[in-house]
Amino acid sequence: MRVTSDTKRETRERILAAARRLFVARGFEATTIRELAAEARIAAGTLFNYFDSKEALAVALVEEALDAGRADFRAKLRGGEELSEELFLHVVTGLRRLEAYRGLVGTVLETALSPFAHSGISQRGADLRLAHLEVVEELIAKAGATAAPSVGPVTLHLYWTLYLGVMAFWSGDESPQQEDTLGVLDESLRVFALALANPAPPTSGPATRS
Amino acid sequence: MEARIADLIASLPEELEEPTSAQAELARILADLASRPVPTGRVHRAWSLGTLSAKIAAGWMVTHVRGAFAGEEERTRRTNEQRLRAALAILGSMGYMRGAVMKVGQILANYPDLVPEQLTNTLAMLHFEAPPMHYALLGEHVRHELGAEPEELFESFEREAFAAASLGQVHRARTRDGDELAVKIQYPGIGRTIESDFKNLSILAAPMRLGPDGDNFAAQIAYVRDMLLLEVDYESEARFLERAREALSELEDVVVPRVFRDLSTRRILSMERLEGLHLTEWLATNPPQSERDRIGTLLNRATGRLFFSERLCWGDPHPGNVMVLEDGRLGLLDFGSCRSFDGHEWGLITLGVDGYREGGAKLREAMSVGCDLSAEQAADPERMKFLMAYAAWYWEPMAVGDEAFDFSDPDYIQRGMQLFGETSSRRYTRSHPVNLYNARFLYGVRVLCHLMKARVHAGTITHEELERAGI
Repeated sequence: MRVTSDTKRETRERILAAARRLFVARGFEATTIRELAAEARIAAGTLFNYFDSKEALAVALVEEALDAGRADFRAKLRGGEELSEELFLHVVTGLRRLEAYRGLVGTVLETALSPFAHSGISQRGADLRLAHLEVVEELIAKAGATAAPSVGPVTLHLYWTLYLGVMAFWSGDESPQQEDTLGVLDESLRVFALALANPAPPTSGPATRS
Repeated sequence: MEARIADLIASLPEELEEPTSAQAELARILADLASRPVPTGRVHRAWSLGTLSAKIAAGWMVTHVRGAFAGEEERTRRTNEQRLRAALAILGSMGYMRGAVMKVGQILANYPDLVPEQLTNTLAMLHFEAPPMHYALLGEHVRHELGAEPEELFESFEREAFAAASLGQVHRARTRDGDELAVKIQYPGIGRTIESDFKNLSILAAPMRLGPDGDNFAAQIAYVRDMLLLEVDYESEARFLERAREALSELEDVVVPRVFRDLSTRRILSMERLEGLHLTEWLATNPPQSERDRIGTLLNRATGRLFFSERLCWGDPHPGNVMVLEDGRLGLLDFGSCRSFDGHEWGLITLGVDGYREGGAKLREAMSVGCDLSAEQAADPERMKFLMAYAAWYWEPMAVGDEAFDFSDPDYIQRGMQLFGETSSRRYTRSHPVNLYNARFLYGVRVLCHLMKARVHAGTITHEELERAGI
């Protein structure tokens, strides 16, 4: 029997749904591939035709949530916000969609988003990074917040490092309803926006302050 | 020997900063404040607090040692400069700490003679000039607290704050039923920040325990900490608001805002919005003497009623918390740092009232017990003389009988300030912590009456309220 693309899509969706349920209910570590396959009513071997590891499933869920968050962000943006507020909204709409998967984020940070991630997953990580940074670049360009002629790779790299740092903080934030993350994110993005507006002088010779 | 003293002086830190004009310094600090975020880590805060206190301590020490070798006039000048610089340094850290320390700034702002005038004005403005939370942050915070975003919860919700609160900010909103609200929202995490700050403050206060009243001082710090922690809890403020509203319901010309419980949590307080002018704005309209007297009288009546009948001390009397409404009624805001006296505390207060009525030995006994003095301390004539002077100042507006007391008299406020100043310079800080609330409340209300230049029958009001409360 030929597997149609519809069937494929439907199976993939069933696996993701199983992962959503089991990861949330039992936690990422405690869930096995066998249980995921059983929950999705497929053979364990079949699951590997769709996702080559449990981590890849986690990445897919995070990617899916962040895509939905991005759509929320677009819908919520009213115009007239300052850059730091827009950046905040962009991150926080993603975090909101990720709330159920907070326990997975650490794994995703380690496997897909780390520079040391292995190739199969890190391609997904690279896509995820690109999708996020495209929005950031767009917001910075729109705000005209930088004195530099264009948003350079260094700026975006700095932003990404900051973002991963906040995600890592959030994944382990034990304050009530992760309220500390809100403060850390707010502070981080204000600093970032401020740095964009006041680029450092060329670093020839000893550092001086005017 | 001479050389060694000279060496010692030379090794002390120089003046804290290059001398600049106070105004320029203030402008610089205020500009700096605007861009500073709230620090979140305890270590970070310990560092900023520790540095600050070290700088102030070093500054005072320099003045002290140099002062020993300077003429009287020079010494006074140095002390004043040092005091200004210390106050500026505190102000500098205030925006940074934004929670607890800004609260201290508001208290300072109420005591006009404690710091130079221009600084007091700046501090007074700080009531409404804290850096804002943007709407994206606020919306997310509200969602965490109330389960939905502002636009889902309210008929309308203004994205821009109309006032800064010391711990957050206040937004205008309308309920689905059409009630106009002021919604006070606390900066996320600031409550836990304050707890952490006060752990640090206790450490910093440790050297002060060297004084003869050290243990007592630590107890007072703890009491202030409890008060501030209470203020962080908006649910507690909601309860005080409801109690005060009920207790003052008989006074037609006084309003305490109604609380909307469904839209309130520990971090969010939704209240009826009062329309009118804050005290400072109202005074800027140059109201006639009769109106000043009327508002001053209402203030004394309302706070006296809460104090004696409800055993509730309105802990934060400053111009931002008093409103004159469009219809002429007096509005009282901010019941965050109220103190509800317990039985023991109330006993001390009624003892004070008995002392006032009977005078002489009874008054001495009341002051001695109220200030938690040992037998030896109570026998110290200097200390007792000082405490009796304080009691006389305390009861002075009530002692004029049926006459109106004229609070416009700057001498009266200055004498009070001087007495406070001497308490610390003579290390007479030993006092039951309840007196902190009492003094802050009473002095605060009197400064407000002074700002209004109000003439108030304080004696009559006090006697009526005592009688009403059966004291």
